[in-house]
Amino acid sequence: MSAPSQARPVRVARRDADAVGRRTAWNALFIAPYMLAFLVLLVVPLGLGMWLSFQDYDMLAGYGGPVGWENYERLLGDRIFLGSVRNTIWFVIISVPAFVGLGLFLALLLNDDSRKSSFFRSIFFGSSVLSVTIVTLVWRLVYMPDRGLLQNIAGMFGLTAPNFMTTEALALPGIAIVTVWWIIGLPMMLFLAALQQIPKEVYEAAALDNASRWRVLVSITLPAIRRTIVLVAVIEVILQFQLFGQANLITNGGPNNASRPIVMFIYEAGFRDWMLGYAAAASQILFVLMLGAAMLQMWIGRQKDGG
Amino acid sequence: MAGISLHNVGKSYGSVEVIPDLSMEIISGEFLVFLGPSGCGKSTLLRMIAGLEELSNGEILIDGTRVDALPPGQRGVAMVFQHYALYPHMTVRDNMAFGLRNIGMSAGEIDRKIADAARILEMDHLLARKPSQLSGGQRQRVAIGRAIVKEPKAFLFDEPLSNLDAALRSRTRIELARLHQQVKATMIFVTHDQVEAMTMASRIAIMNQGRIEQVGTPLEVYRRPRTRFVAGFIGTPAMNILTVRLLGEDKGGAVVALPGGQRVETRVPISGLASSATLELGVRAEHVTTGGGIDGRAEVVERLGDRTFVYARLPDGALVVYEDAGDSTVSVGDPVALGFNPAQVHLFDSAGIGHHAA
Ligand SMILES: Nc1ncnc2c1ncn2[C@@H]1O[C@H](COP(=O)(O)OP(=O)(O)O)[C@@H](O)[C@H]1O
Ligand SMILES: [Mg+2]
Repeated sequence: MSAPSQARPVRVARRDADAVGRRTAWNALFIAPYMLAFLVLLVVPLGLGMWLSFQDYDMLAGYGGPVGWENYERLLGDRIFLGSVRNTIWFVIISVPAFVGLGLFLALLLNDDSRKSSFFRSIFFGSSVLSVTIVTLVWRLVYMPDRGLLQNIAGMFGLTAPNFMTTEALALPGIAIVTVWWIIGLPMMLFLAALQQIPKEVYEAAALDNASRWRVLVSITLPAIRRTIVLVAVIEVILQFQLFGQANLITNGGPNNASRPIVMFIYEAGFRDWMLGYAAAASQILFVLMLGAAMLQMWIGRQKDGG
Repeated sequence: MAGISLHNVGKSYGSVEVIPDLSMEIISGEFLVFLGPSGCGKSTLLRMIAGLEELSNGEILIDGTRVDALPPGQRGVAMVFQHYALYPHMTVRDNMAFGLRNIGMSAGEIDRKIADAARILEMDHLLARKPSQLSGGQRQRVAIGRAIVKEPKAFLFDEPLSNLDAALRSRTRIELARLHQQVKATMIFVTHDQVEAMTMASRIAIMNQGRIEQVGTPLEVYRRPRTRFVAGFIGTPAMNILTVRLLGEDKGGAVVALPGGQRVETRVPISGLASSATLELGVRAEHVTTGGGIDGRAEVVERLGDRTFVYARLPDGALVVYEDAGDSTVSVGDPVALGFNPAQVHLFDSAGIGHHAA
């Protein structure tokens, strides 16, 4: 009577162990489609790009074999490339704070469940779904010298509008304005989601504690969404380093290369001049810049965490 | 210390009327408990006193000064929330200092007040911690400490014990009662738990659907429930309620009959009962005696050690619970004979109003 009942637990345990082993094997199969896409579309191109950056690979002149750091050395002497690095960094510096600041401001303004707020949330987020071609087309009509919307408005007050498309110092800020207008919706939504996580009772306690609106913002709201602020900053740094479409379509890198970003330089080196090795090396530099900036941001975010 | 007056206070959310028209006086220094089932409007009322909710009607006075148009911080009240509502990114010390800094109190005075409160609540060792490093009971203490340092005219508590485990809840009950004696401030406490109300209150206001059913000391509401709702809400197990028929009067008390025809004598004056279309009899388990003329059969026996509750089914289908001794030998299925102590029987008329022995 007791023998079979004693044997059973042992068998069950063994079967469980087998099942665990089989389960892991099957699980690998389930993530295989993603792994395949990840490998083929991300890891392989990344490795290929790195390899390419050390080759003399000119589509017109043919493959010239490995050249070591020569592509990189040439880049550091290329005034147009160095200018594009400067432009891109400057663009990130002016656009990312605008995304964080304005995104947060809009989120704070629209964080209630009135119909007005939900209407404006849709409006601000809505422009994000437009394609870059449409956005730049619209803004070219705004910026157009003499006949643009901006000049028309300024003209009504007897003023002359600044010319964003043809003034060197204004080209990148002009593009930054377009970019913020275009995709401010995502940071705003991320901030809204974070704000909605803060319990209402905490604000009520603060009201009973005589906290001013400013005090509430600084002492309660901002600390509560600190992680999201870092997240938005990192996302925007990564996105804005890749500036291309707007610059290409609004100013085409001009005037006098004043708004030529790195990605545009890479595109032109690779697909206009067919210098694939050279373009690949520029890509690696962009990659390192983005990685460094994102890591710096996360490090700053962690520093405040301790306090 | 401050008295609080509620004059014709009303609150509606759109077309939903949560509190129709409520008036009462809260006496300076008392521990008043608003007791009622969940959803009856207790929190809404408390939040209107705190200034977190606007009034649709009426006015609120604290110490004779009208406050219903003042922002929450200027009413001189402190609130302890159900989920504590501590500031998660501040230490316990900063949580308590926050409200004091906002009114420009000097650092030295803030430190002194925090030290006092920490001593009263025995939480000196917690001051440097963040709320996430505290247990539920400790957070509760901090929330109370944050209220104490403000030395408010009135403390407002919204079900502050409902997130604590049973042992901690009964300990905190005692501490709150002690705190009330120490600081002698007016305290308004909202709960759906009658044990909390009975143990801590100077007076209980029993609420039902936005209305106050009765205000009285714990013993008053227990012994002389003004309405059938109060009778059913206060006391564990709930008061037995049986439909009865008025037979007449004997020795100055009404005599009624149960549906099964059994005669029950009461000491309730008959005046005002005859006009009532229906009548209900209420009697608590401890006032049901054994050895009377009402036959039943034990259906459930609850042994609590010091006493036993027996639920007996009467022939007409009604269930009556009575209290028996701890060593009662009654078991399920036994026939029992019950009687009701005439002096402790209540009658409720068709309007739900209670009539008690004179
Ligand atoms: N902001 C609101 N909007 C609409 N109805 C509400 C709101 N707040 C509370 N209520 C309603 O008011 C009634 C009383 O709520 P509440 O005061 O929280 O009850 P209690 O604290 O007694 O459980 C409930 O029926 C609730 O649904
Ligand atoms: Mg409530």
